[in-house]
Amino acid sequence: MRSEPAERIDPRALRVWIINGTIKTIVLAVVLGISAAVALMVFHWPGWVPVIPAVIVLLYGTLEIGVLPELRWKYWRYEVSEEEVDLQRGIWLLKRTLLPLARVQHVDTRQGLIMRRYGLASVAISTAAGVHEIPALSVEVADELRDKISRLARTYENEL
Amino acid sequence: MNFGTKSPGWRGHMKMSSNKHRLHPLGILLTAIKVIKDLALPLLAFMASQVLRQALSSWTITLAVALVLAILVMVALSWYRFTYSTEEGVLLVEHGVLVRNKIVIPRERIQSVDFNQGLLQRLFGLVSVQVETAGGKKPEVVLTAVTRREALELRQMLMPSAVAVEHDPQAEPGLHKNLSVGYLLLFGVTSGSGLGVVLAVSSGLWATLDDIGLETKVIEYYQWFVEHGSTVALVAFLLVFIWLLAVLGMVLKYGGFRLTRTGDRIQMVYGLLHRRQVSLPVRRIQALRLSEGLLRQPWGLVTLQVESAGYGPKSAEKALLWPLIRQKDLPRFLQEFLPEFKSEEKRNVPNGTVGGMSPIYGLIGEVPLRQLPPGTRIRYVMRALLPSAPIAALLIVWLYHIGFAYPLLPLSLPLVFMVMGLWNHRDAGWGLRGNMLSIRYRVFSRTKVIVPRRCVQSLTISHTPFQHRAGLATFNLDLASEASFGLLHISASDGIELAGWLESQHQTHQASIRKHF
Repeated sequence: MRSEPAERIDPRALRVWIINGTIKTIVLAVVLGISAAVALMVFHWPGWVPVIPAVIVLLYGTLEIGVLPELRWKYWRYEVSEEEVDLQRGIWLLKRTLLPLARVQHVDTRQGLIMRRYGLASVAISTAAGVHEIPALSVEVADELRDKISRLARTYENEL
Repeated sequence: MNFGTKSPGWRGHMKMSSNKHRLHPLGILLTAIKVIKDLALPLLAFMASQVLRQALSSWTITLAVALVLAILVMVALSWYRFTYSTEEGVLLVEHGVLVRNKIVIPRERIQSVDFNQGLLQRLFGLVSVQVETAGGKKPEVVLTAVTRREALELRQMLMPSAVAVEHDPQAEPGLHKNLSVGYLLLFGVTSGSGLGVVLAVSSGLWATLDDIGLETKVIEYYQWFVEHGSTVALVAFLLVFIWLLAVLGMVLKYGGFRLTRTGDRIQMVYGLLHRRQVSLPVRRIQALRLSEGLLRQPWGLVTLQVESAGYGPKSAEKALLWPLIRQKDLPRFLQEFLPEFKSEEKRNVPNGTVGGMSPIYGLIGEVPLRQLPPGTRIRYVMRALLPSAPIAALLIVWLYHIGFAYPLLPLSLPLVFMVMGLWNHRDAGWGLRGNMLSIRYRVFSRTKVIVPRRCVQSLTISHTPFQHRAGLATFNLDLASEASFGLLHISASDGIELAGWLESQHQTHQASIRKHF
């Protein structure tokens, strides 16, 4: 403590998040579009009503595609020392989480479809209280990190 | 695995039907009553309304009878299929009518075997046995109706160590403490639930008064009250009666509270009609909660709860450790029953919070709490105040609109919130001593949580840009009981100190590892 954690996550995370953001925006647009169409044609709402969902979709898309991925990447940091995992994340609310390795129950790497396409994986660290995830690392780094954490965590195993 | 040549254990189970037990036949009745209560109550209510309207046709009766019969048959079938046995240190339960299930629990994994007794069960000398395993997310096995003797045997079999400690006269005479009748009554009287019921009922009455058709003018209410003096008295009497009922409910639920500590286990038994038993190993306790309800705090009364991991139907179970104790008796109580919650760090604590090289002993009740930085009061007040302001403004506009005599009345709303914000700020605090962290906060009742360092699963320190500029931070820690505690607006340097406290546990550990290798 308490300089920033040293490691950044993979820059390719940005692309994955942008794709995810695009998908989410499209889904939102479709859902809102259908509701607007129903409202217009079935319930005969006034003609200006669809402006609202359009604005919502536009705002959401700008944030999820244009703004947030960049900021998210900028603030995401992590570091694994011999005693703990140190995570920093958040955009408005900057969060710094310390996970003592002695509490780590198990570590997984996870890969979604899009992440696999870009050779990325996330590392999920489970404690008795919940799961913390480092979102996007290159597969090699993720595997290495997973093994490192689980190796270090094992040295604490005989502790209660 | 070599199934062909040798499978003694498995075959053994299948043949050894003599060792298989069924639940007591009364279990059918108990379960049926429960099922009917849960599932068919709306239907019965419908029937009752039909009876009242004298519109009960013969087919509704047939339907109801058929339903009850079907339930009885299903319950009886599942009773027939439900068997349990204990062999070679394993609890084996088989159940299921359509899908057959088999649950195998090795003795080593069993954390507690508790007895529950409902009213009917008590009448017939039966108990419901609840078997909990460590880390389980749901109640592992519940045997709803077992004779007392069988239950004791079962416990003897599954938890020999715990039973031995309990019954060995040579062992330390299990510490125990019974709640006195005076405290029990006090517990009932000061509980929020009674008051809550009364408030709910009186607000209901208020609405009814509106329905009676009076103008929304306080003066007219007053006149109406004067004219209907006897009615008012009746209502008052009714309210007191309801409140007494609520108190009675608490007394019935927690009457005969008995706390026992044997070896490394604590056990709470309570209930006048439905006798409940909760037991857990002390090391499963993740945090101790001392809460002072609004009605209890002025009298220096505290309620003790323990957070435990992986216990009970809800994984984040809060168990009532002790209903009511005076603040001044608290240190001795903890010394007796939970000495683990003393801070026993022999090392010097880093960051110079507690000086000196001498061992730091002391009850956690004495952990000095630091208050929040002085500049944070306004933040707490604004935080409480701001959401209520627009609501109050809207209400005022509306009251003007309908011509209410006192349209500024909603101004009291932000005022109340402001006072709450001030209170929350005044009572918020935290402190470290050795391996114990203590956090105090208020959400109506003032609560102090004591967490041993080894139970902190993760610590999060966060700040918004505003907080950052003011040198403030928020901290939050997660426990295995899935509870989460924290405080808003501690100073950023305190946040660093907290992180240091969490890290410092490893110094000895790392040293020992290095020595070891």
